[in-house]
Amino acid sequence: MRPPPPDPVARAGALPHRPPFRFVDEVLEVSPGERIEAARVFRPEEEFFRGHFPGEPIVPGVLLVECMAQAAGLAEEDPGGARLARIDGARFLAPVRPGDRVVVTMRRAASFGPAVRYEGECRVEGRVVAEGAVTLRTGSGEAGRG
Amino acid sequence: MAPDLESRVRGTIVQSLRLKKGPEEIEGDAPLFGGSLGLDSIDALELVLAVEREYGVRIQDDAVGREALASVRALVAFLGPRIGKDETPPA
Repeated sequence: MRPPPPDPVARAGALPHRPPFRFVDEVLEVSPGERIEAARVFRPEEEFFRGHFPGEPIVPGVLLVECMAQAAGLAEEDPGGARLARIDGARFLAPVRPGDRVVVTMRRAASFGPAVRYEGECRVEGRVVAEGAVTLRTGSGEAGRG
Repeated sequence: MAPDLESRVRGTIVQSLRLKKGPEEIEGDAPLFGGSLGLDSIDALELVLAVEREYGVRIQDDAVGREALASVRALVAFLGPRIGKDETPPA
């Protein structure tokens, strides 16, 4: 495992994603092409909490999947060239609430050609709140499916 | 080549890639990827994983995979001598 980069926030900026659709704030540890640990704080003022759900704000599960996908992208040598191509086995095990800091860990599980699969989970205070696998299409090969 | 392995392989392909056609509708020598089936590299990775899961045979790298997954018959030929043999070194 490589030591944490000097500026974990700057490292997260290697993704093309920007607010309001950036779901990694900082990269805590990365072993390029193998494993990453990253974090995202879900701030109480985020717009989606107003509707999901009124009076009971929780982070939509799809955003935790996006968090896993963006973290996986950041584990790649060229984060800007990775695109989400497939999601498998996503499970949401506990609600994530305003102010929670999600730590996402993704591990490279398999690859073939430009396709790379990462598996991992999201934790809040050590407890697993979501898990799943994402497949990224890396490089500038085939066009994405959508 | 044993016909039962070929039909098993056809089933693996159709199920793991969720193809909307019957196992016997895939031409034995037609290219699986980049051809008329409309399959791409994301599907190829899926098939690599399915082969490992269902037959216990690991496709070590892209070059081996390109050959093994070229067609139904190529995959049958690849698997035939390897099934049941623990010849794959640990990752």
